[in-house]
Amino acid sequence: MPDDSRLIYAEQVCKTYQTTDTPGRLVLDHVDFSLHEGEIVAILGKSGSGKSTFLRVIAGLTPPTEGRVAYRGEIVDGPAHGIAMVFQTFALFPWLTVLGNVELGLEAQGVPRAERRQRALKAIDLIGLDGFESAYPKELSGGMR
Amino acid sequence: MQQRWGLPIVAWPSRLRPNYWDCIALPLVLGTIVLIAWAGGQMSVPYHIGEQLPISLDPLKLPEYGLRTVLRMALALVASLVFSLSYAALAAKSRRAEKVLIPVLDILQSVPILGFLSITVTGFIALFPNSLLGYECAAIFAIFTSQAWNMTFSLYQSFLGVPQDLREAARMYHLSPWQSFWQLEVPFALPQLVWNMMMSVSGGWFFVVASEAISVAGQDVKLPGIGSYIALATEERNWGAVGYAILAMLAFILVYDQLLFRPLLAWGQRFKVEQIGQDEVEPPWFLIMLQRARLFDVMRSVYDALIALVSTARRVVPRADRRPSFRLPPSRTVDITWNLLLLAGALYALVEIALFVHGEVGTSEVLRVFLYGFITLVRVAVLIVLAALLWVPIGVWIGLRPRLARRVQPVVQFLAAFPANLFFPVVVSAIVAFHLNVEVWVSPLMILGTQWYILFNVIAGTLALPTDYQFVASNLGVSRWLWWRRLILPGIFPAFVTGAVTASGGSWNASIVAEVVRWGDDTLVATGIGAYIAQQTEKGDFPRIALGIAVLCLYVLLFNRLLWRRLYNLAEERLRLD
Repeated sequence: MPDDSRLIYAEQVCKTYQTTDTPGRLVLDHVDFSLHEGEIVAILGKSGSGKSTFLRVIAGLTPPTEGRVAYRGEIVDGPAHGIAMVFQTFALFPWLTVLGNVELGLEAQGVPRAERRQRALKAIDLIGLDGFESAYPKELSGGMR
Repeated sequence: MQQRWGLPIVAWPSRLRPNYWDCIALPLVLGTIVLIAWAGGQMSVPYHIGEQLPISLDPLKLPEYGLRTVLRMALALVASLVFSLSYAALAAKSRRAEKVLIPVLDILQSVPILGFLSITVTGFIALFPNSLLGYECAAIFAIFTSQAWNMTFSLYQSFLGVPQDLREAARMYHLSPWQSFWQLEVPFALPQLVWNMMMSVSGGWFFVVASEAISVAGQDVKLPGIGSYIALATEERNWGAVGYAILAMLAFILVYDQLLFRPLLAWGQRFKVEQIGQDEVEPPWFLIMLQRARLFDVMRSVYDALIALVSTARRVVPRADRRPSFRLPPSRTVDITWNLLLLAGALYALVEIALFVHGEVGTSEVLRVFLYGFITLVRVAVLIVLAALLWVPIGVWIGLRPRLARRVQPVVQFLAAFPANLFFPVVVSAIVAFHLNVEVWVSPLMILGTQWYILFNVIAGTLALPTDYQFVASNLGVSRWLWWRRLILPGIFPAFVTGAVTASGGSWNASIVAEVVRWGDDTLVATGIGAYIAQQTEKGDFPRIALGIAVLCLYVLLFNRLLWRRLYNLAEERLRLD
């Protein structure tokens, strides 16, 4: 790759959803995209035009039908380490506290308990939710989630 | 802020200091341990085949009998839990395993409890010669068979219904399959599982007579327990003892409810996927004690440490992280080979059964048994429709009122747990006295115990409907009829299907107890597959038992394939709450 500052690039990405009766619905039609370090990019589009699908493909949650996606020069072939995504429904686990939800990703990577807690508390502080660590998602307002 | 039910996480050293709640908690825990140890010791006393175990109708013996029955039920429940977690997980994860496991579960559910007992009892006795333990194991296994299938179906259904968003979040956090099983799938399935556990325990109470008073294949043993007490009371036509048994049942079901299910249900509320906080139900006293008494905090710390140990231990095993995690398209060759293997296995088993049965039984009898099966099928179908028409509206009405549901549910639970056998004397006396048609009037007994599955599941399904939907519906000013058609019926449909499947399975099962009823010397026999199996089981005629069970299973399987399975798929594809 000539350009090393590209964090994410997508080449000719197509995504077709297989439906039972029709030949399949084309959602993404040869999309090219690249994101450079330090950029903040917003993707706009009508409802149902495939914004979330594209994000899912980039995050490695769903494979593209054609084309490829790379993150930091490596082809994405599964959920990528280092890419995070906020879901439309937030996808907070309702049975975990705020702290538990924040810690979950670290726990999965095997970060020791004490460090996990410290890092999670720092993150919660950062977004100004301190005091709500032991609250459950359903006790938070929409913005807080 | 209101006291939250979770334990405070920070500053844990101070929470390990004892407080007043411990004054109640400590004796309770110690007492329970002593009782379990005593009852457990009673299980393995020496015993020789043919010996009579003294069962007395003295009401003062009831607490002891009850305790021993409760211990059996608890052991069976633990076994069911372990079984259903592994079985349902396997069925939900692997498409190929699912193809075998779900039909097998259908069959297991349809095999009558007496069938299990007659097949396994000799094996268990051989396992522990000269000890009562063999019979105890057989009884526990029989109770297990009356609990496990229902719980497994519930878990399987929940695992399939985990919201897509949460699944993707788990993948993005890189949770290993093991972690996501315990962090996502099990918690998501918990509320429904707790309900079904409650239902299963009720089912266990229903079959407690059949499983404790073992009288199959020439065996006649009454294990000390409340079920044997009831069996003896029925044999001796002792109305007074029947009354004491009812009272004791009431007491034990109440204790189970207060100490186990009420706290579990309240705690399970936390696991409902719902973004809007709803009216908090007040925590039951036993849960408050569990959460306030420091003793349990100490236990919890030990438990947490163990869990941490297990997850670190698992991390030592290298994780196959770099392997592409997109699911590969299923290989057709493997699929076809797998299907052929299954077909071959089934054919082989069929030939074996046919040879075993045909050596003894003529073709005309086989045809007659199929006819019996059809008669029972008609009974079951009619009863399920009637029960659904009655209980769906009532269940929804109750489910929409969480407070009422909490009050009604112990009553329903009691009714479901109430061994219907205790009603049989009344029915037999009535049929004899009024010269009623045995074929028709014996049928209601089949659904007496199982109709509650429909009611329970409809209530649970309605309770689990996110409150948002009702807000939206009233916000849009949806009319009554439309509200039923567009919101409630689709919303509770998956739960209803689960309930109806279990109820119909249970009814098939109950046909064996219900098509031949006794009260002292009066015996009424209706035409049907249940009566056939019951009579052959008593004689210990294994080829005919096998024939009866095979035909019964065939009917249940066809019924499930042609009707319930389709409804299940519909529920999963169209009506999933995503």
